Amino acid sequence: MTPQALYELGKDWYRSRLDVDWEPATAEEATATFARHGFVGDFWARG
Amino acid sequence: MTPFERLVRAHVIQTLSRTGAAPTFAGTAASTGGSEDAVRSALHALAEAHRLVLVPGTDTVRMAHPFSAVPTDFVVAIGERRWFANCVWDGLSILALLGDGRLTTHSPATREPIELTATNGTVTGEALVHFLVPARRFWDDIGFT
Repeated sequence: MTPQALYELGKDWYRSRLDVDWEPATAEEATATFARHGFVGDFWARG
Repeated sequence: MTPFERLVRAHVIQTLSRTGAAPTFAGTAASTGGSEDAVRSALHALAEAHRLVLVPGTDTVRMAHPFSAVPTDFVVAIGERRWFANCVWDGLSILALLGDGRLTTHSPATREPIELTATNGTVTGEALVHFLVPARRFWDDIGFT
């Protein structure tokens, strides 16, 4: 994948990581986050 | 996570974000109101739950994604400040979180230097990134991933 795509994914994936109340994504949420940025298919499925 | 573990995790990652280095046990204890022993226990609980990664056999933080607490070949620079990342994705994520700057690393195949620059949300530089490990197996060996 391109660096731009990874930058956008990272901005979404890590957006609340510094928060005290951060909760890790569920498998479904993680899969959906990858999909929002075009990372789809079995390779990107977390569940 | 327990409330105390949340405080410890947040202090670790916020300190890494602010300084590029992990906090001391004493510093985390002072910030969270716990003892150093409690901090060490919390770090192990957080590692067990994959909320951060310790150097094996120690209480020392190795990773609090996207930050690395140990030197790596993924160096993020914003102005005069520096951070280590765990991989290209993490390096680009640090730039996305903290601001315009540069990620430098080397091709694993050829060792040629690679530089990626983020400016106002646009990344420039020549690279294609390949993920070897499928997402469901990232944590099988997060260091390898």
